[in-house]
Amino acid sequence: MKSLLKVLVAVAAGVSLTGCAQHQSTGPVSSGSADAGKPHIVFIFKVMGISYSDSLQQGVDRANKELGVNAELIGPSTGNDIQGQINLIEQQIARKVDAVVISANDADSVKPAMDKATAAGIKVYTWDSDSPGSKRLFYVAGCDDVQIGRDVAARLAEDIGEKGKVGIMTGTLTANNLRLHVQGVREELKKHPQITVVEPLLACNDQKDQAVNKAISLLQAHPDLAGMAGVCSPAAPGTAEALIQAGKAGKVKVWGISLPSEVKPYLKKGIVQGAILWNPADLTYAAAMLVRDNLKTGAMPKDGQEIPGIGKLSVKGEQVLIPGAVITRENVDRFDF
Amino acid sequence: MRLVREIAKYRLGAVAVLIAVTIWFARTPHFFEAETLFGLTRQYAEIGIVAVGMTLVIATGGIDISVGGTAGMVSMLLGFLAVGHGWNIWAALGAAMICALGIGAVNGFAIARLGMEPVLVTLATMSLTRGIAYVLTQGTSLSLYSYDSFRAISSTDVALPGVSVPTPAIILLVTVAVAYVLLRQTVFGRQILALGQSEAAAKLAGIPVTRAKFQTYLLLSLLAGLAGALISSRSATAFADAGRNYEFEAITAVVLGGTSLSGGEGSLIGTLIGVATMAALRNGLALTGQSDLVRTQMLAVALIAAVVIDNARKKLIRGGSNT
Repeated sequence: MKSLLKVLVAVAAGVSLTGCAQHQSTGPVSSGSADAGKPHIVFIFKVMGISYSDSLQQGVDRANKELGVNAELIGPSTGNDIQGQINLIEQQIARKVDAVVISANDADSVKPAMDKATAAGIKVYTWDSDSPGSKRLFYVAGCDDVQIGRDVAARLAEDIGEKGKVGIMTGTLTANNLRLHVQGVREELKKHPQITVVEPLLACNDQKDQAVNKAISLLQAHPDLAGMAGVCSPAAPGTAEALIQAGKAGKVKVWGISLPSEVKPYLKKGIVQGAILWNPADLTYAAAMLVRDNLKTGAMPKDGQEIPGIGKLSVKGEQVLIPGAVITRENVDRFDF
Repeated sequence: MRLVREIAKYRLGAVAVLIAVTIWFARTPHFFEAETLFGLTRQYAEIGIVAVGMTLVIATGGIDISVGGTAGMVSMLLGFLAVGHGWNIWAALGAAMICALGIGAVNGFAIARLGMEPVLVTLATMSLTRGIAYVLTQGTSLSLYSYDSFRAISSTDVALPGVSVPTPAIILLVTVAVAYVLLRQTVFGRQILALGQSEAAAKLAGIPVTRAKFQTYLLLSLLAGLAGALISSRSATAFADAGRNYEFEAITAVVLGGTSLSGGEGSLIGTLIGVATMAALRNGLALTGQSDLVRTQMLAVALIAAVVIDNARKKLIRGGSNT
């Protein structure tokens, strides 16, 4: 019995770490005959089982239907799993896929694995979160990582009347895109002398339950908080949930980088004031198309290139941007992601 | 012959599972390629090294769930000292390993000397070590990409006659060999097994129970630290989360390998087979494009099954005869 108990403790520890993710890759499982000859593109995201990754999956599904590729989306089952992501990249080398597209949990730690993949003849790219200085051929981004942070902060500053305490919530401290979002938020808030940023920077590991807890703690420490800027998708809805629990709905203003579907109920009730985001499905679809073209002909993305149904790309060096959107109470019903 | 007898006696389960997993995935493309298998050893050497030390601790009837935290602490400490404070990377590694020994000493002292519950003690040091790792840089990771000599530990191969083997695999095999000799051929090894069988009897027989227990925890923390260093080397990054879930992975490998959690026995060959089984499972699932979550769930089921079988075997032995 004693030994059984020990195992149950160990299993509980293991399961509690994986328990949050309920979904898994629904991409094509093997390279069956139907997929023969199609470029095999593997997207490796930061974590599976969150709304954002579900939306990425839609882009992969659309790419498989329309682009003549065999694409799939995989990722670690828990948030901020740096090691898990490296293992996944290394495993793609063994699978001899054609291309790996990474959204890096940690910008530097994926480099050795990307080096190995490149040496093995696999083309590597990044999308959603970059690994600057790696062997990636280009980075497909939903936004200019710093500018979107500035935009979120500017709108939040306006909503809180240019004064008061503001908290910032990110997903992980290591993801490159999130670091740049936070940098943008800080830069913009510095321009408003009557706004003070409340430290520390909160990190919710890209999970809503943790976002709720972090926001509650912050509200307890700073009852006079005026606003919250969230830079990962669960931050704004998590903060909203915390505000409801603390009885402060509407009193603290919230802006974030979140999916319309995640913030819609809170937008309607006026708990979250707005969100700025690109469509993750479009982002992934565009990345799949650009990677396919690069694999086939070596073509690099071009500034002003038109992606059907998405719009015109803007290309700066190795960074490719797709058009984004500002989502508010008034227009949220128009978005379906 | 001894090896064969050992496998026949205890480890049939693990071998059977390994064979089953292998057959299951046999038709998956690339499963049997040397490149695939060796690629895996780089990942699994890290877990294997921890599992070796865990086998000894479990043989004493104990357990240590602070190993993942210790790995994370070593990773972050060596990065903190090398990148943050300009230390020589090897000096930083040495200092981090000494801290790992410190954690082992805390575990060993509280469990062996003070007689506290291993699960509780190591639960505390698990949080302590992760806490230290996070506090050093507030969670930010540090790049070790420019330390070529340090990165070489995990990325190089050792050329043996006819085949080149990844260095981490060599480190694992040496660890297993040393631990095997330690457990089977030395007084220390016999002490471990004796006190795992019955601590009271071992004490009466004049075995230095406290010292032997203390040393096994020390050794395991050292190996956990080594795993943390290998993870940092392979990822070229010092990060607080290194070794996440290693307590689960290592204990699973040991139990799959047929070592009983109630102590008194320990098979390092079994543990190695357990690690190989987990590697084959991960490899097969990855090649077929399954998510990592599926693997964790399958491991959890395998772990519980192994314990149920272990308990049944114990009852059979006790009820059947006195062998």
